[in-house]
Formats: sequence, C-alpha cells, structure tokens
Amino acid sequence: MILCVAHIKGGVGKTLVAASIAAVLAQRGRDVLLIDADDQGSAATFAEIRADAPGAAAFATVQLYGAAIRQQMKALREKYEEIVIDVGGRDTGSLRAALTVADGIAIPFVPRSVDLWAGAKIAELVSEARDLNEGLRAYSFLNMADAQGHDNADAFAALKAMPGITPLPLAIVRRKAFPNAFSGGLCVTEQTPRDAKAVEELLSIVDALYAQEVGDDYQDGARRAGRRGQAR
Amino acid sequence: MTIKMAPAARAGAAKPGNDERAEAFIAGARAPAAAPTGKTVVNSRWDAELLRQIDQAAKKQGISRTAWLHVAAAEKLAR
Repeated sequence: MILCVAHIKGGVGKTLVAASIAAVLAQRGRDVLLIDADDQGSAATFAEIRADAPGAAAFATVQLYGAAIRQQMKALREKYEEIVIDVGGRDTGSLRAALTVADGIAIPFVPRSVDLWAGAKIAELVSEARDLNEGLRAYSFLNMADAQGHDNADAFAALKAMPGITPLPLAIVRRKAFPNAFSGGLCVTEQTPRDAKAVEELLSIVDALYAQEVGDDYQDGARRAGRRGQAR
Repeated sequence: MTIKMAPAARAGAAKPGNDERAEAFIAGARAPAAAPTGKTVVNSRWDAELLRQIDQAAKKQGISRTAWLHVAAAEKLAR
C-alpha cells in the first residue's frame, strides 16, 4: 500500500505520524520505504538519527520531490511492500504528485478552527486527484488532540462534514511521548519507558488505515488505551 | 539509511493521456516547487552544556542554533 500522510496546512504533525506509521509497519515485519517529500527534510533527519538508535526496526528512506515521486513510484512499489510518503504543509507539486500514485491519504487535523478551515481545500484537492487516481482513499483523524474536553468531539463533527474524506473515529492525543521518542529517532512503540496510551492511539490509527476496521462512533484513542494495554 | 534518488525515466502511463493530465495537475500546485538547496543533513552528538551555551549565544543574536553554527564555522574557516 502506498500511503500519503499529507495536509496543505503545516504544523499538524504529518512527519511524526508518517515516520511512526513506517516504524510500526517495519516492526510488524513489513518491507517499508518512507519517502520524505517535504522540503524541510525532517523525515530524512529522523531516519538518520534512527540509524544510530538501538532497537529501532529498520526501514529505508528516500528524499523525492515533485513529479519525481510519480515517475519513481512504478519501480519503488515493486520493491517495497509498504510505502509511506510524508508530504505537504502547502499545496505543492510533491503533494499533488503523491496523490496521483497513492492508494490512500491520511490527513491529520489538529482540533482547532484554523486547522479545520483548511479541510475544504484539501478535500477539493483530493477530489481533483481522484480524476486521475480513481481508487484514492482519503481518511482524516485528529492529531495532537486534547486529552479531555469537548473540542475533539466538535472537531470530529467538522471532519465528518468534509466531502470525500472518511473520518476515522480515533485521535492521537498531544503527549510528550511522541516528540520525545521522535527526537531520538524512535517511535513510541519502541520507546522505553513505554507510554501505553500513546502506543494505543498510534496503533489504533495504523490498524484503521491498514485493516480498515473502523467503528462508527467517535471514540478517542485515550479511552481505548485501557482495552489493548501493552499487548504489543 | 537515507538514500537520495537520482532522476529516473518516466514510468509507463496507466492509460493514454493520463501522464499528461497528471503533469498538468502537478504543475497546478499553488506553492512553488522546492529549490535544490545543495545542503546535506548532518547529525552529530554534542555535549549538553556546550549545546546550552550555543543556544544561549544564538538566542542573544536572535538567530537559530543552525544559523549560529553556520556563522561560527564560516568565521573559523575564514581565519
């Protein structure tokens, strides 16, 4: 599967999510390629730090931009079982090229009005991309969500209103475990001590994107944490 | 492992005209394409106290840690 983690809005945690998904898939024994298509190059930096991180599941990383993403994909998709593309922050050629070849796009939204306003634009872009890539699946989910309060549910209602994008009834809560693990080149699933809630939230998103086993009701990741605990 | 990919030949079109339409779609991006920077990412381990002092000096000048290190290195090389 080629999954693009993208948004036209910056600061929504795309790189951390993309790198974390790649790490989880690698931990599960998949042959994974992470494509850093963001000109900030943060995913590539993460990969370089990760190379020295003990206990990190291995995956390959490449930096590709613009139309080259589309041009290279035929060869890359034959070589890797899973490809995760970190792209966006703006409406770039890289984002558009990724949308022409991806099987799915995962769009993280921070539960704040200014971030949700950008939903209409990304929905429009996804719709345009489907003229070229009919099978493109699009999912949204809350990232850097609040641990409690009504904002998550309100934001989820806004996600449901975005045409052509399936809202995952899940959320990754803003927790220190994510940036702490990331800065050391690790995913929260590899970090010790283990933050069970962070792990559960991330795995729920990965399961939903890859197994597409999603319930209908909003249920934030924090509440689900107790169900699976540290089973993985 | 980080690999920089070289430009490759175009993949075959999925159906006639699809590549042309895709090129037009990609070219329609509102933000400009990333310009090649010619920069290389370097990771190195630093003593925490030295890093703290660098950050303090950078903050005084109102620049980033990276910018401060670039300036310091350029000054050293110019001597």
